[in-house]
Amino acid sequence: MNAIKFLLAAYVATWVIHGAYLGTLVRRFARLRRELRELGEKQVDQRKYDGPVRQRTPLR
Amino acid sequence: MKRLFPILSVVTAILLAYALYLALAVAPTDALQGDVYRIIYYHVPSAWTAFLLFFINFIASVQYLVSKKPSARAITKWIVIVIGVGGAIATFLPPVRAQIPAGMEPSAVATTVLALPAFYFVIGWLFAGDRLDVLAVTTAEVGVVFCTIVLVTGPIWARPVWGIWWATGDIRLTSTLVLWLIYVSYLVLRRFSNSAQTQMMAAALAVFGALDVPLVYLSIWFFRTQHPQPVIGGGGSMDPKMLRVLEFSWLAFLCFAFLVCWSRFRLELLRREVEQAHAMESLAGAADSAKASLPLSRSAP
Repeated sequence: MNAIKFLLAAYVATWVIHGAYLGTLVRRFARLRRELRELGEKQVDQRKYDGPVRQRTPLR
Repeated sequence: MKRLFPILSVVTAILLAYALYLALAVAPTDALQGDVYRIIYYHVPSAWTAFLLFFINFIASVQYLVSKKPSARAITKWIVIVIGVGGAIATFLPPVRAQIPAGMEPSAVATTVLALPAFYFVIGWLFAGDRLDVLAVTTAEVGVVFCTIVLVTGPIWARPVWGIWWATGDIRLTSTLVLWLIYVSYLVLRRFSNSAQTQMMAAALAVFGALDVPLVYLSIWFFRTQHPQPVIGGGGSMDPKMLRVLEFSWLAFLCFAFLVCWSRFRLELLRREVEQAHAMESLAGAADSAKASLPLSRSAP
């Protein structure tokens, strides 16, 4: 019985599955960080477009 | 906390490498199966880790379900205490002891039953509100990954030992597959449902799904299966050297699972933050368009 190839296959399969899952985590992290950055940039652009916020006169 | 992650990653990598060395070079070869039995050092720790993660998912889901109502929270707290303490005492009573399968120690059953209140209160203390739901989705997803490994490595071991990839009708194999399908459907529900009730529905599904875990675990104790009978615990006949390697391998996989859960937890928090930011932006956009569409006479000076 050539069992070594089955043993190797099981160990490799385990790390391929873990590797693939970790890959999806990294990709999802990158996508969310990019989205968050883009949202931040959009808000900065919006503020520039609206102009400086007028100073309120203090209530007497 | 940010510095702890890389340190723990290095420690886990060392543990996993050492576990691999122990599994391949130190553990003795099985007299009947030869080297292929060494698959057990990945298959069994993955199964135990998956069970533990599904158990945490169950506790987090129950906590999340009752968290909305203080009265339900108080009742559940007492139910958990009664199940834990009462169950632990009951395992030592002769009528209950007679029902425990041969080879299973009552003290082991009592410890497992006591784990229920212990996990319930620790999780309730560490996580609150929506973080319970974040914990539930994290443990379900990582648990599915570990369960997938169990379902892949099992047939790879079975082919040379049994001569078949899958024993159709075997209760251990079938219940494990059902367990995997339940948690995959849980993740699919969370991924594709946009209802405001999704979190509640997912938590309810998780509570029922977790009922399959004891069935999977106990199936080899109560039924005759193609799957090997218990090799550890009271009924086991495993060589102590093999057992030590198996335990070390589980420790390494537990550390790895903890790290993966940590990352997935942070990812879920980030995802919710982005979702909230999108919602705020949409609200701001809607407010701007409402302001622009107001008649001039009613607009602010």
